[in-house]
Amino acid sequence: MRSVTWPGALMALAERVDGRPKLEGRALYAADAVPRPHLFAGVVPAPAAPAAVTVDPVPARRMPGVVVVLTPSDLAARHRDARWCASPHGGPKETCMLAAHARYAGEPVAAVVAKSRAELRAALAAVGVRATAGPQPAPSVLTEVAYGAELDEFETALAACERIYAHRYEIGPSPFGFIEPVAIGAAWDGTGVCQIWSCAQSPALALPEVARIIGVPAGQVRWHPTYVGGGFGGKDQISYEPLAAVLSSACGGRPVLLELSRAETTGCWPKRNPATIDLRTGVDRTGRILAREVILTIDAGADHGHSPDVADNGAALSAALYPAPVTRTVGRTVSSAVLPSGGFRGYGGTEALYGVEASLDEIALDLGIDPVDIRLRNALSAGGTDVARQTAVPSFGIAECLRRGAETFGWSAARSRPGDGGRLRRGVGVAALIDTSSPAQGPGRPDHATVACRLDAGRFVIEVAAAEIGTGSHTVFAVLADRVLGRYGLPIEVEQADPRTFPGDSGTYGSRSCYVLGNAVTSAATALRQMIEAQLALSSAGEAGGTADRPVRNLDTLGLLRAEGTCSASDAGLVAGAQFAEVLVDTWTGAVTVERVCSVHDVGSLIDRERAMGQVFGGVTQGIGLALTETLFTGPGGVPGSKGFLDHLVPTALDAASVTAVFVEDEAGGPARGLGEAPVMAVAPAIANAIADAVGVRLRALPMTSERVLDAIEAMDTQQPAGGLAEPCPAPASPRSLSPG
Amino acid sequence: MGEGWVDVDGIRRAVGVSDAKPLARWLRDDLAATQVKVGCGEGACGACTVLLDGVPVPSCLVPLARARGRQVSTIRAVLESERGGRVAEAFAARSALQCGFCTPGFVVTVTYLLGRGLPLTPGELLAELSGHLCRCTGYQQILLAAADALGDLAGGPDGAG
Amino acid sequence: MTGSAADGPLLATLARTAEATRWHRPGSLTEAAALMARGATPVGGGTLVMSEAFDDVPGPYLDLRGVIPNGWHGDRVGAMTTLSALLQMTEGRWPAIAEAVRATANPGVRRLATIGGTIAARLAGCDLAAPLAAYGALVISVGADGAACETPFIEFWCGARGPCLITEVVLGPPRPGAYRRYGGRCGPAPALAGVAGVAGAGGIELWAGAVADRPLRLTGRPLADGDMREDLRCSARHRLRLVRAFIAEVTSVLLEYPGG
Repeated sequence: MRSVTWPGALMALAERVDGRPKLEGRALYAADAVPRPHLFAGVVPAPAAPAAVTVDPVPARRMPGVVVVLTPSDLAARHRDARWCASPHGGPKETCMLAAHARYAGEPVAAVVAKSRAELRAALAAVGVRATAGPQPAPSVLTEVAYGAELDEFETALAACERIYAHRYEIGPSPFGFIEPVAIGAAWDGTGVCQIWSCAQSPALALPEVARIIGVPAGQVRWHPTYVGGGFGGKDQISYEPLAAVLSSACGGRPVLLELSRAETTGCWPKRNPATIDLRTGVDRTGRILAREVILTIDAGADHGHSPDVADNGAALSAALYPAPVTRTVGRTVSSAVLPSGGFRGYGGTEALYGVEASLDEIALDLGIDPVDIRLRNALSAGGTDVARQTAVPSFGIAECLRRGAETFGWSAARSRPGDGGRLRRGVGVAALIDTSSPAQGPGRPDHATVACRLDAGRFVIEVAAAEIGTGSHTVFAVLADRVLGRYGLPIEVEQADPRTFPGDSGTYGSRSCYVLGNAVTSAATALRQMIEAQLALSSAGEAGGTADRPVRNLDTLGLLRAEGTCSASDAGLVAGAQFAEVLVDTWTGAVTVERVCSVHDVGSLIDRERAMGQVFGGVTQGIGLALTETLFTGPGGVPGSKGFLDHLVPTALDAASVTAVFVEDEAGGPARGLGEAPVMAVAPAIANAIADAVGVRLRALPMTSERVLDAIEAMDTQQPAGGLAEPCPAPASPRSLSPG
Repeated sequence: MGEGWVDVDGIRRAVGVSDAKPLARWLRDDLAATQVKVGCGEGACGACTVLLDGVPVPSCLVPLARARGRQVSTIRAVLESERGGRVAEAFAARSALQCGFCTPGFVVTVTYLLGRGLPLTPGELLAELSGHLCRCTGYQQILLAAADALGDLAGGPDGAG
Repeated sequence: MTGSAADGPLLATLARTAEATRWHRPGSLTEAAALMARGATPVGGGTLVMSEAFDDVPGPYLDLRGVIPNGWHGDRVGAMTTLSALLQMTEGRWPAIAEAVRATANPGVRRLATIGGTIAARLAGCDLAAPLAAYGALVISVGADGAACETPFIEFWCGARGPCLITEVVLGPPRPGAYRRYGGRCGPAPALAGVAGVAGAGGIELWAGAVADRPLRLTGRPLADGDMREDLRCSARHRLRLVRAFIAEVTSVLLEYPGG
């Protein structure tokens, strides 16, 4: 798959390389790329769980247009018994193709293939399903990781502090809400090669595992690169690829497209991780943190999946951000017999920061300290140590982010503004942010990336395994390559390679595109330039060589040249940020409007301003949804209760705030750090803190719906007999007393 | 009696007996017109927006019966117009897309607004685009692009938004 | 698909499936009423039948285009009038209806959905119901026998009419009105609660919508939690608070009108 050619030798890229195909509707997403005509596949969800499920396929098999109906007993033993980890990054193997024992309501228990969409839907409805529900198991702890001090050391230190605070924050579940529904297709060609089309974010990691599950060598799986219509971590799954391959095989190898409806994508696909954050903090009177404990509990649902890594990452980031003398953080996952959780953007950091940054705000308020100052006083700084990974942190621009943000936002002026007394109350809040630039977890667990760069028929082509999910990563690669190869004046293309070319690539994940992949691109481009120069030197006897400023022409005499580049990142590439929010709270309805956000990010070295701004605007808006409106309803027995975008309220254009993006760069020109996740990560606490500033109430659960806001206001008012808020909603007057003029 | 055809991007395409099929599904499944995206099937996200006799509608909610004898313009035909081209340029210049799945729908609606020729306040523009969900961009660059394309209709070349 | 023993049920299934997707285009209102009486599902804009947000509505389908009026029909609103057209017709003259239309779905959906289909759907979060009740609208409908009947809106909503086809809606004379509501976010979302007020000779007619299975008349009656519906999205208690807020807003808007 090629992105649009972008003429080289331009340092500032106005358009992203994949812009034209997407604008024109020519960009192929998985459901577009499956060859037509294809068959239509769907799955039957378990109606309850945990449950032994029996399926009666006979009525469905008689329906018109039905080609195949599969139940677990119809699968070959090796397929029926196959288990894998839903996260391509590894973990306990619990996921199966079709479940005879449903672990969660919504788990697929049967599959149907039909000739048309309407016939498929009719047949799915005709499959008989009976679930014998067992008792709900008590939630159990699956994994636990701890960083920093031991518990007894912490409790001793805490007890010695002047002021001690204990807070609990909670985040409810919600769907990911990418606009492209889940779509996966498969076909077999005559030579025993299985073709896959999938919306998955990490094809290179998924491919060998899918091959193993199907039972063919990895070399016999051809995974077609396709664009992804938004992932945010939610499409980083190994899901229906094996089932699609088996269904296609059962239909003689004909192409089969399995598309989840929006309702299924909402209620039967991994959700954002529900979490609880418990904090105990001991400070001195000046606001210096002396002892802190953060326990992040991630509800994994019925599957390990990403959740253990999410909890681990959240605990690690929590520890690193404020390296108090005694710091202890714990990342725990618990299971429950409900829809599994995925790995949402921020990967535990988003969840942890809600608790950490809201708690710190409460402490600041109690001590009468400016919320920006308390962070400046306690945050990690350059030259410090990452408490979790025990690595040195050469750069962490949190102070610069807080100062630049406060200045840009007008923090002091906003805070010293006299409070309104009316129905609408204005407030401002701040939250600090920490994220990683790669999934590396120290020297023992680095993250690798290999890419290639080739000179091919008068243009340069960058080959990467990682999908372009919308972040603009492919554009960044073009910009980076141009810095090295632009002198030659040739067009530069980005090509998403067959995943077998770069096995094991972690994909578009963990904000690694700039830091790890980008550095690999630079390395490959540099190696290619060396090859070119060497060849030119050999072949250009008598030709004056070019200088660094004067482009060397005529690479036509060179044939196909190809160089690979590698980056191995052993440190996490910690990134700092700060987010400031201004809200308006309607004290009659509880509705919260976010007026403006200033989002400041320490990016090291800014490669592509346009795309970086887009990441900030988009991430902040997602954060607003997480903070205020997004939830996943569940009916009795864990049955999905949300059906689509009428239940899952993502921010519309009317909900978006005016966002200002500020980028802080290393003067020394350090590496470009990741930005893919950061902009969503501290928005929720910034908004929660702003609500507290506006109406004096602290909401400790997300989403902060109008009902919860009003409940909190009323609870506060009842505690203050004089009336906490002036001008409550007036009691309705009897209309009879209102006479026409 | 319904006509036996739907004009899709200037070509009359024969319709069988699938009157109850959503237009979006007929376009994608029967005509392989994959430039029309289906995001939700509920009319909430706007990704499937086409012009039906020149007016933007969510094609996932249009029964094929109701499209008989009428003109459907997908993003392909919209971009062939001068107005559509202007809107696409504005979106490209403002980097008003990321994953791109919602983009054709936005471009169709903004092109319609440009052609309609009615001035829009910032609030009215937001309301006109309220049926298009975007999960990636946060809308800011999209609104700037729309204002650029609409020019004076949106209060001037820099947009009043 | 196996031997002849299975043919009987299979053929029946095939026949049911064919019938289930049949799309009738009646040539007259009488023909339409007869088809409706035989169980065909009337289709206004088609949005409800097409939408995946709602349970499948089985066919056969009854296409009302051409037999039910569209736009102004004398001083009545044809039931096949789209919501976007209704907005233009009511703007400034029946403000509570116009504001409710603006709050319904989004501009693209409003170009398809019809006032007749919206009323017939009786959706819990319907914004139009309270204003139509407040304006004292009348619903003209035709029964299976083809006879037309005029029913006050609220009675029609509550099912007084039985199976019928809505042909027109009578709005009555234009009067000042206002509608306020909230759906859970700034952008379009199904209403959690809404209040419509219409100013008339007798004072302000106030109705709450989207809070129960029918619009509730607020004029002269105290409200309680128990009147409101409780669901996953919103509690009854919060609906009541929203209603109180909107009563205050709506009455304040209407008191500013010259002449009432």
